[in-house]
Amino acid sequence: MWGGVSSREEGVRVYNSLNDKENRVSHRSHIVRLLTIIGVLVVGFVVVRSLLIPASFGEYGHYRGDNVSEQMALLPLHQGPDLCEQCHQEQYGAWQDGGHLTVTCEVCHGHWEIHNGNLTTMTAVNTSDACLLCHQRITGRPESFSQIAGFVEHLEDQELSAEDADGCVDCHDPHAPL
Amino acid sequence: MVAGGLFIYTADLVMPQLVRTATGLSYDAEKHFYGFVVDTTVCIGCGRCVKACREENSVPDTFYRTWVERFRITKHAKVLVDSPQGGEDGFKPDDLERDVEKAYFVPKLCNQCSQPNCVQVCPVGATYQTKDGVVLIDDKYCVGCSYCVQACPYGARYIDHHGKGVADKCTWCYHRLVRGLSPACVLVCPVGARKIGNLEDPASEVSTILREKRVAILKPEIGNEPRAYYLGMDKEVR
Repeated sequence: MWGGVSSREEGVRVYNSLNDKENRVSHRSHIVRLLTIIGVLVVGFVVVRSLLIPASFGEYGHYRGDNVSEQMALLPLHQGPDLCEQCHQEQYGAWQDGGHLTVTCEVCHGHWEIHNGNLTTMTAVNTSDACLLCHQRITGRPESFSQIAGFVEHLEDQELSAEDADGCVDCHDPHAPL
Repeated sequence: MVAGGLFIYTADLVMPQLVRTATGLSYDAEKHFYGFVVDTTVCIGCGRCVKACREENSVPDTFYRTWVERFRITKHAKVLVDSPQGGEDGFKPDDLERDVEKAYFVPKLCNQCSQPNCVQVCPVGATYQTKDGVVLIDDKYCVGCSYCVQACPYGARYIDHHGKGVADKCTWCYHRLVRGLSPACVLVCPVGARKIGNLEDPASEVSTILREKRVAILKPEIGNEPRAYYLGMDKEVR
């Protein structure tokens, strides 16, 4: 490895020449190259991260803040009876006085949006099945809740024959059943 | 006028059309913290809540954001639980009645826990708790890994495999709450078995019930601190 150095004097001369400014190996270029690579990686990470993560992420917590307003913007389909009253005062009045106040319009008629702006889509479940959904005697129903064993049995209880009524609404006004 | 909407009368229709927009919503989440009360002593198992929920939230078939379970305890202390189609079509009379000593209905829904497991396990920050205490899912951020589905002790979550393939669950109808409306299930319940209220308001019905009545929560041992409170809940209910 010290080939060519044949004497102590020559060795000293080679050593000294290595320390001369023009002959010195530059370490700085290595450092600069390394720092440049690290810098590019860091900037790249920050840029890619900012592109991937939505602006509102972290606004309120570890989630996309905009999602809260997206969820709020969903439109309600059920509107409640007050809106129905504006056109259907007669039925609304009967319902108010008829002892079935806890059963709101949309329970039997479907939600408001079906009918919204469309006269022809007024729906109603007016079969006896709809009544029996709540009023049939079923294991688990509270005893105090008014229940019948079935349509036929109820006719017998009321001493009526099968010709007298085809369904519940023949005797009970659906808006004021009591 | 209805909050957030306006009526437009068209010439040929007598029926007003409600054009509804999300603009102009003034809602302060800081002033609300919701609680839910389910009264199992009055529930009749008609399933109107399940149907209303499905329609209001476009819940796909075979999945449920809320459902009604029927508990029947026989003479031999056997516990029978059924929930046909989540109770959506009601329950049918059965021939077990002779053996049943005690029976009642228990509606279930997301408990909007104060310490939600589902939020903790989500690896992407797609499910979170709002300031008013409702746990929501960001359907654009969810990757459908279903960790949350497994983490929920109440089975409230599902992955909508037929739709976006992301997790979904009951939000207590958050879009309705922010408009001052009750959730669809609460609105249609014919016996008032489901109630929602602002716990920040001591005069609200739910606050009053929590103060004055005896309520239970589901699976308290897990420590999720659920905020759906059950009136008249039996020891058999999990």
